[in-house]
Amino acid sequence: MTDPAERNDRELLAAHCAGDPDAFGELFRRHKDRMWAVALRTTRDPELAADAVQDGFISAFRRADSFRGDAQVTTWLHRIIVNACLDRLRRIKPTSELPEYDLADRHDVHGSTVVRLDVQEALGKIPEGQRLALTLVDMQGLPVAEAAQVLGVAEGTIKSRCARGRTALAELLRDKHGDGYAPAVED
Amino acid sequence: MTTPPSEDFDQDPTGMRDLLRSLPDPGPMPPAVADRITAALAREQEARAGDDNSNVTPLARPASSGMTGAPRKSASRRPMQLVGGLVAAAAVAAVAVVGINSLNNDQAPTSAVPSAGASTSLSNAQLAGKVKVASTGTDYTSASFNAQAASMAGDTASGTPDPAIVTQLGSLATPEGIATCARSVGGSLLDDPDDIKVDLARFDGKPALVVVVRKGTTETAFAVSTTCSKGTTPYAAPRTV
Repeated sequence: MTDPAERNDRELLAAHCAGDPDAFGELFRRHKDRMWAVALRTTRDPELAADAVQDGFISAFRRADSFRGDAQVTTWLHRIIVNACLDRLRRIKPTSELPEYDLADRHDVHGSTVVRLDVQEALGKIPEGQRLALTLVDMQGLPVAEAAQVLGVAEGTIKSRCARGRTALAELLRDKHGDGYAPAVED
Repeated sequence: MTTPPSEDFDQDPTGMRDLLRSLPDPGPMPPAVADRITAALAREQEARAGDDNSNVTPLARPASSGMTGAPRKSASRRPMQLVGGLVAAAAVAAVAVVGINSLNNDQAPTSAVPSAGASTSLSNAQLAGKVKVASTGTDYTSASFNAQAASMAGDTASGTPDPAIVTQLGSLATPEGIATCARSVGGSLLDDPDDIKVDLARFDGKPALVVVVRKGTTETAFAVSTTCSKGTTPYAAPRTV
């Protein structure tokens, strides 16, 4: 049998559906960090993110045969994880408000904690659709088309949400820091 | 599949796109979370393989899987509800450590995940009935651990776990988390114990889980961190106290 690490994502998912007990584990190892990042950025709460990622991967494990092959496996995983995050968020508060959580952590070594917290705070104040679009496109670096597939909307919708979200973020930060804010955050 | 962004989309006069892209990456998934999900996936695999051991599913799903059933409140939001969970969790830790005896050290992480109750003669219910959870507020130290653990073992007043400490346990306050943590301890400790005491405490100033297992007249204690994961060293290795 081929080493799971040598197979691509589609082959792994197909192998999992065919009963290979090791295939899905390789998919998890391969994409866990990326899914953790999107979950943490979506929920802003490590506990919620951990629960959501677990929910998402369990769901993907069980529903692997629902993957139709018309998208990348990572796109499919992103969609499942984002939906799991939204489910978790709506359980704790049925609105688009985000939990209060300080995302400052050991990875912040550039002294940009204030900037990051301000941005996170501002992100929490914009509509959920805009926030998700910005998270996927601007923070996770997904192409617009892939973000559209993840969120199940048109590419134009992603672009408009990003544009409106950026404008809203800029206004929120300007309200707090004035016009001189943006240059100050450049490293 | 990708469509090149339009020119006006690429232009961002607000500067927010660059600002968002400049934010630091959250970093890799914490090992404890990865281990917990690996364990959950291993259970899924076992279930899929047709293992209908009834001890597996009830431990996994109420605690952390939100795909079915009622949503689980996180540890920090409902600390007192975790007390009962901690009892069960400690039982799972016990089962997990028992499971170590039957596992080879070179097994892959996914296959080394203990299937609670599957490889031991002790049922979870039997173990849960032997577990007592306390929160003594003790700051155990390396130098005095034996005496302190012995004292805890002899203390008949269990008290109520401190919600603040329970909160500190975070993901460890789940069967998956504590089972993962317990695997880092190793050794043969829990073959049919008479009772198991768990103190939600501190060790050298750090949040810790101190466990004393009594079998007959022998009491074995160890301490693990609340962020421990596979491969990490326990604060205090198992020793007779």
